[in-house]
Amino acid sequence: MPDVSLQAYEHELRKSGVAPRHVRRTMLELADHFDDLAREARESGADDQRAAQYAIGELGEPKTLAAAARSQPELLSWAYRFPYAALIVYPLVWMAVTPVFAGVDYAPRVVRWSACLVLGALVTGLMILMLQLSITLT
Amino acid sequence: MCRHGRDDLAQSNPPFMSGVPELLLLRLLDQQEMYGYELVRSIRRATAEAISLGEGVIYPVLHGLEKSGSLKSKRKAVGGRTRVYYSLTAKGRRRLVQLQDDWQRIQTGVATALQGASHA
Repeated sequence: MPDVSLQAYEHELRKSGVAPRHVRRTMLELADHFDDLAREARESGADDQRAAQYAIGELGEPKTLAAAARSQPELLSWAYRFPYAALIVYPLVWMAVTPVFAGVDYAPRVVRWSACLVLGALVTGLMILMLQLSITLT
Repeated sequence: MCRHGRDDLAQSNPPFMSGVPELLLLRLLDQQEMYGYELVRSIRRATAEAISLGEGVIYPVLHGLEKSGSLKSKRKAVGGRTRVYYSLTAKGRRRLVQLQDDWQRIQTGVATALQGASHA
């Protein structure tokens, strides 16, 4: 029961960009908290199902938890904290170092693929620019 | 056991709660180390149930405070389970003093304004 119920919290935390290690830790502590709440309810006479419902109700909405986590930037994964680095710098760095990891034998092939990707990105960027210009000028 | 239809400050007026959980957590942890469930219960007791957060919300706040160096945590085996206990650091004590000062200043300012408004 708890595993199924707590999955919604994990899903919301991951969706909000919380770093995986913080998600894992939060889930461990939430599971522990859930057990304490359910025990408290059972001691008051609730059956297992009602105890689980009570515990989930007390933990609060998954979206509220995710919002609280989002308000702590240091808990977010670096891609969410530095989106420009993630979208621009990271791919460029990987393109540059991929031949090293792929090995000398595959280097020419990786270089060709990288060149094609860069060319594709340039063509797409040019098309978007022209589209933007045509909208602006008409 | 179950508190249905909870109507506390946290839910009725969220903007008023900005910074409050942090202040309360630091204040309570200044007295003794505690784990999450214990902290939520202590907040309820200390505020006479005026403040009861969605209990899960406490963990991002605790983790943020730990990340900023105001808290430290350690795992302890208790009754066959491993609990994460939090305690205040020296930096956390300085932060608590600063937050208490800020809170007192705001409280005094709002009280003065309310008294002024009632006399006007």
